[in-house]
Amino acid sequence: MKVRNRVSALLAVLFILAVASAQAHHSFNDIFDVGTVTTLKGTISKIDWINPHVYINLDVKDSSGKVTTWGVESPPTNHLRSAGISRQDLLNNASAGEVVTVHVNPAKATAKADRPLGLLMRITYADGHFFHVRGDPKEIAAAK
Amino acid sequence: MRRRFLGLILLAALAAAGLYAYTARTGAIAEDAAMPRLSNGHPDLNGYWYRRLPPLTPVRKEGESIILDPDAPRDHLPPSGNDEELLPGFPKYKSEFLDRVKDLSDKQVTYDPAYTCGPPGVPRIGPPQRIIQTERELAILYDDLNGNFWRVIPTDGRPHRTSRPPNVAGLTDPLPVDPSPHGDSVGRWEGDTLVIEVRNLAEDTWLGDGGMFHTANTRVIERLTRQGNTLTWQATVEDPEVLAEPWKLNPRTLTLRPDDEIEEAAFCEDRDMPLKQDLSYHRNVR
Repeated sequence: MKVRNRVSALLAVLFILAVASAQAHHSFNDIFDVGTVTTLKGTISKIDWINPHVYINLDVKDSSGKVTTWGVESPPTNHLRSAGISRQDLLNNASAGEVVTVHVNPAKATAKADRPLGLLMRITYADGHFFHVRGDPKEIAAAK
Repeated sequence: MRRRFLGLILLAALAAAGLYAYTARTGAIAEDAAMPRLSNGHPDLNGYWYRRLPPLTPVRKEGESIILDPDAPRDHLPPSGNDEELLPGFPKYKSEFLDRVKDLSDKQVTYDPAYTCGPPGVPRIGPPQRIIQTERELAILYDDLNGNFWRVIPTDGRPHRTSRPPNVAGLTDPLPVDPSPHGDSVGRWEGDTLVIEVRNLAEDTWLGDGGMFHTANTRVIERLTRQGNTLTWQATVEDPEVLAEPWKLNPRTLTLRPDDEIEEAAFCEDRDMPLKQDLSYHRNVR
């Protein structure tokens, strides 16, 4: 009986570890509002080709003409590279002022980021081609 | 007649024993004549060895567009297979350490040194990526999420280092060899398998995700076996102070890419750290 209790206790611990580990791998929603899709239009001022996240710096102009630079968190360099997306592919015609459309999950207010921050879902270029890295395409289609 | 028959059997037995001894000495494997070898007869492990990586989201192309689509076929790059098999597994800790493992796991964002661009350590750094091999030694290069790392592994009988010659004028005493994240490695051949023993591992690395701490007395044994153009990496961690038994990681099979080369790792700067959030890209597969 004692042995069985011990085995049960061990199994319970292992189960907790397994759950904790699985949750740890999916904690985007600790900071990003994964239920919200925000559409940004702007120009890429810089790509930070760094790990563990590439950042797209996107200059977004509001109706008054004020420019805000969004940080768009993207997959790591080797994940993008293995998907066939290079730094230059991300930039595309940025140097010519190309306006791109970027769909992101915005950061939650609780994240206390020092600038507007979003998690990349899709970036669409002026000629219509796009890179989709995460999320349901239907959510993007439904986004304004 | 009978005596001659017995003589023939004896002769055959002696020949078989001789062949066995020769095979054991040279490490030759008769059925794999295609194995590339160095001039000393040991397998040639030089090259860029491709390993399949997460996030394992398959890629689909539509014209110029690229879509990371979980529903697309997963076998676009060899070797295909179950993604879970890429995970190393989990060591069996002694029961008195399970609470500590859980606590570290719960606070991984804060305590895992690899989370803030720290060196992953052995065996967390995973299988070899680029091997440069001579008859004396072998160097393994890694293009890791956290940066560029390398190991130099003697294979000519040199022992584990216990000291270094002084490198500053005026000093005569040998210097200590400090523990390091990737430790001190020595290789030896067992037949056609290269067996690497790693010691002097710094205890501030983790063995993997989920609070896998270890002690300063950890010993890692890696086995590298080439078959044709594939290389199998198998690592075992021995840490009897905290592990109930040696931990044998799931083996990884790599594919030689003669037309490819390792890339320099991008600079690592974890801007997430102040935000204390995402672990998804730190999944325990390298």
